[in-house]
Amino acid sequence: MSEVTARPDVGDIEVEIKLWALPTTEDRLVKRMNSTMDEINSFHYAMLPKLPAIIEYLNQFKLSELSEEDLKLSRAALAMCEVDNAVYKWKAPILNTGIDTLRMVKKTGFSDRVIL
Amino acid sequence: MGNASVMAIPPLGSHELGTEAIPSDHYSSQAFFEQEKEQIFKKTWLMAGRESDVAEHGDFITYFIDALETSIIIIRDKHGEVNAFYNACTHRGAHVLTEPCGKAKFMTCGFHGWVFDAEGQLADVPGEELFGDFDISKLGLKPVSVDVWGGFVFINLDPKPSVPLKEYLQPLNESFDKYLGNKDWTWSYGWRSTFNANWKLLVDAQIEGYHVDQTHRNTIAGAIPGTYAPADVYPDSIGVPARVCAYRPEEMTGIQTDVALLSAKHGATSLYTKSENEFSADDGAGVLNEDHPLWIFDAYLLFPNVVLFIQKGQILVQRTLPISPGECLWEVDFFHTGEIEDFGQLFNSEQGRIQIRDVLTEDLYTAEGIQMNFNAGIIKEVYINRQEVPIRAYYHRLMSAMKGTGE
Repeated sequence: MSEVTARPDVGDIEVEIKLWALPTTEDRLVKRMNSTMDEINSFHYAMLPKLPAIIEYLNQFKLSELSEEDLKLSRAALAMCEVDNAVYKWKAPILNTGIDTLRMVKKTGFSDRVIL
Repeated sequence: MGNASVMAIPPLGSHELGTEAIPSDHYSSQAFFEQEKEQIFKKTWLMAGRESDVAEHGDFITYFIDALETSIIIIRDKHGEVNAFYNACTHRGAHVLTEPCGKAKFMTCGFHGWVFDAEGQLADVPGEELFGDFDISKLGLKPVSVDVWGGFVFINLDPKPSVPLKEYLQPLNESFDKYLGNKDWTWSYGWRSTFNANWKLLVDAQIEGYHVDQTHRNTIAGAIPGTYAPADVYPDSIGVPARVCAYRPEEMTGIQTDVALLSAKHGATSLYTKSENEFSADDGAGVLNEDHPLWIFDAYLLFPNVVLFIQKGQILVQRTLPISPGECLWEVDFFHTGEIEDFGQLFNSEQGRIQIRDVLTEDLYTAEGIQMNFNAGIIKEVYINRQEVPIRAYYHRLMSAMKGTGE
């Protein structure tokens, strides 16, 4: 039996996790776009040291069986993907050399052609 | 020495199709657009769906071509055949189906209840005795040419296409049909939008590597340098004018963030980070350039409106459709093999899709400004270098298609 990975102590960053643990990619995108760089950096640098352990911990469960607290943690971890470019490449909440990302409407399937 | 030859990147392109400037009026002219509707969208094969979306008897999808005000039904019949029909009730012309997809072994028109089976035959007419001289057998749905290749359903509004689909798509051969048609591919995610730009401009944005260093300077700069994106053209092909390929540099020079590197431990969704894992990919022989250690993907232009990115374990399909000369629909879809089962894979998928999404926002950024300059007559011709040769191949194919022979 493989060794169980203990849940990382995230007590000191609960405030950041709560702010960014939004349910969908689109929610997290809007959160990033509406945040200041101070807020984005604050979240990113709080999460970053713990992120490897968080992924390793969450990785041992079935996605459908995550507890409410772990689901929140997983969403905050996914938000790290959303803010990554803003922190390291753009140094700004929004990319100013691309279209408004919100113009890209999420599809529900290959044949999703609902008139826009 | 041996290693150096393996690592060599193919020539960036060629001048084999000429060097002259290309006029820009085919992006803005209403008269040209009207001809495009007739000679291209009514005569060439168009990728309209995925066969797995019509897997069983009665499964249907509808495909709407805005510029032609034409809706097509694609449906699987009881014999297992995929059929296509104009979405037009033969009674008084109403759309029979109004959903983008669904299941209907019998299709009932919502206007007066005429019923058609999945072979298009008129199966029931409420109050049939109310009609006079009436032959129900002659009032089936009007058929549309349809074929399947690589698991994708293509339609052609020409009742007798001048070229069968398989011939149309050469040099993409049986190996591509087999790889892309693998039933393990599942649709993962996608986006759609409208743009105030000609439908071809969004294609242009994806078929040359010359733009990469500048357009993507704020996202993937260094991950795929422009000089690692060579192009090929297929002058003898009817439906595949060109391709662009992508290779990694021997040493990544762009920013590889901690998040990207963590993601790479769990999957290969991102095109822009060398993964520690790889997607599985059955039947890739003759399709995937796996002999080259730096190869990432090949992107094929399927005339008139598809760019098909093929890599190991991931397919990306970009399609555009015209609405007017200066307005189009754009959509992009991703297919993967295998399900996301754990959080590491989910994290990788999220990171990869966000990276690609942000890169696409850059690709889409220039089209509307270009369209304005074409519309205003400020720019009347464009200049194409040898790395951009797919743009020239696309233009040549466009102009030959406009002759109206379907070839």
